[in-house]
Amino acid sequence: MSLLEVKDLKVQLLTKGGYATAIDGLSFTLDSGEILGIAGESGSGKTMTALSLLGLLPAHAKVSGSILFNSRELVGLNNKEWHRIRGQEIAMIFQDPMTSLHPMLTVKVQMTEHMIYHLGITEAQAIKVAEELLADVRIPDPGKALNAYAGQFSGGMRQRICIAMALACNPKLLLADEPSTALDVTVQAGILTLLNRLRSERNLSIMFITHDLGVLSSLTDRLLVMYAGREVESGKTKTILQNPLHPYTRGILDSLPDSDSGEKALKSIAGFPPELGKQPVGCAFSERCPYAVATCSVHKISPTIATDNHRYFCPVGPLSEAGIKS
Amino acid sequence: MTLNNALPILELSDVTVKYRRPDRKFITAVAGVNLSLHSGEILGLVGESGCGKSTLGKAAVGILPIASGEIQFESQKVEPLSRKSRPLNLRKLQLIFQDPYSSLNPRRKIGDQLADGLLNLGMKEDEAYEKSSALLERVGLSKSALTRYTHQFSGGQRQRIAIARALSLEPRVIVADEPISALDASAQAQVANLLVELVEEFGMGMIFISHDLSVVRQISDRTAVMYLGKIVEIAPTEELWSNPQHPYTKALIAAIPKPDGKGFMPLELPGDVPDPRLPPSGCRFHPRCPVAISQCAIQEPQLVSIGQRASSCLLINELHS
Repeated sequence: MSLLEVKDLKVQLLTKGGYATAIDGLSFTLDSGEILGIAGESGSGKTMTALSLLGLLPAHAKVSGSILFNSRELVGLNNKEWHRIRGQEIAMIFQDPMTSLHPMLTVKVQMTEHMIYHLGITEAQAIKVAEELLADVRIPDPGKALNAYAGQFSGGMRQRICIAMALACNPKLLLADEPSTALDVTVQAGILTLLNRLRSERNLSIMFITHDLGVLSSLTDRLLVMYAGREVESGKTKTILQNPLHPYTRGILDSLPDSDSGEKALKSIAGFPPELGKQPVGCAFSERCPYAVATCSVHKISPTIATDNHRYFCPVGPLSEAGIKS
Repeated sequence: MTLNNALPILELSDVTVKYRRPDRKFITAVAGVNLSLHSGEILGLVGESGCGKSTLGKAAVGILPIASGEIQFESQKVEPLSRKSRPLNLRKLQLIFQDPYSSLNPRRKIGDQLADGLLNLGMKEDEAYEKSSALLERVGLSKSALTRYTHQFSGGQRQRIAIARALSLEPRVIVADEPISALDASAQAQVANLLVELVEEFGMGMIFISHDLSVVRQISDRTAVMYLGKIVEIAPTEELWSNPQHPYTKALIAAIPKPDGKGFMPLELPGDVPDPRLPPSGCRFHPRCPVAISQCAIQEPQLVSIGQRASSCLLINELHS
């Protein structure tokens, strides 16, 4: 039994033109101690997926499908029930640790508040736990750090504090939304190493959201590639990165700088993703896809299973090694 | 493409830039940098945040005053921007900023923003708008953009508009400060390609400032690595990457995650860039350097050239002396 089982999740947001589908029939699982990477461009529904696991979607959003977390259905919980999940069983860290930390409150206040609320412990106990957590995420001099403000730390240190804060109530699942994107590569490497260690030490499950396939390659066990609110391909990270079967996955891999090619130009996928609510019934990537045939955009695409739980949503057939349709 | 024989189009000699902090103390953001840029060349400038690369870029086009040293553009001195009008020759030296959301004016039409520079030079209005629409088409937008506003465009399109604006005065040198960092992955490749094409088409020189090392590797002819206000290594890009000399360059390259599915964890460089108010003694990198010896804390290494490349590390300099 997986820790998290999302089935046919659909999220619709109210826009000027009525309801628009932001997530369309997404299904995936996440085991204990596993790191699942969610890849996709902005607007592909990555962050919306994370927010729907926390019940933090806009108030007017329509949600259908099922989110089974620890054998409990999360879709349809009321606000009070969500309070017990958020920050306690499922925690989240964000891209920009400057804006996710309060600039005018000390680290102590921010780190202990939810522990006192969720765990029912005293302030003194919470401070002790906070100190241990800060030491665990390698903040030098945790006692001093507790009395400091966010602005006194560098970006990497702030993200470490956010991670410590997220771990405070011992959550089973950590949602990480582009947590290393705003950091320098040297600092990013430290955050990735930290998350990997925490996963093994605490048997923590992590859903890691980013558009950076290099980062996903280092850290994640499995990958889910999203495009325009839908899954296009999922499977083991190694399999997907070394042998992508969907043209979109191939396209984003090809657009990465490849210095061995000796060419100055970067390859890019022509065109733009469809606007929210304007996805075709069929494949949303068909407009930009070099292999698309006329029927691609018309029929709903069902997944094709390759080996080892590797599946992709493309009616034309798999891409061979060279990226040419077989 | 390094044109060793030709005179550099932009030359920075021992440039130092200082900021005065609210506590009235000075911090040295750029501490004695020498750089030269040739026409048709893309020079990548990389380093962690806080290393002074943006400051250096702004100083190079004269929008920040320098504390000492000299900047020469087309053999004329670059004067810092003042209340007086900018010397005419400097219009050929342009800057593109990171965030096209804040570098374009949300309340003015794109056409008006593009035509500003041309009208200032005394061009007739209809000519200026005609040229603006040609520029928009050159950067891959339709001329209908002239009458639209910034918010009607995506990040990648906005950066194209900002590039068109920089191009309007036919620059000889463009300093691009993290021009693609704020964009989506697919827009990044498109805008980076556009910049490379423009450099080739117009034979401009470009300083490409970025923390994204892999993009710099792909597009730049030479790469300079900056650490705490100083250039620690500069070399033709491929040589720098295949055979980095300075321990800091090595650490930067080792920290890049590779999307090969092999699952290697990138290597962390412990610690942060030190406070520029109190730069470490000797080599500025020594507190974080994995191979530092005791001498590194005492003696400041000089940037020593060997062939086309140069690096500043006591250990390397000793090897070659």
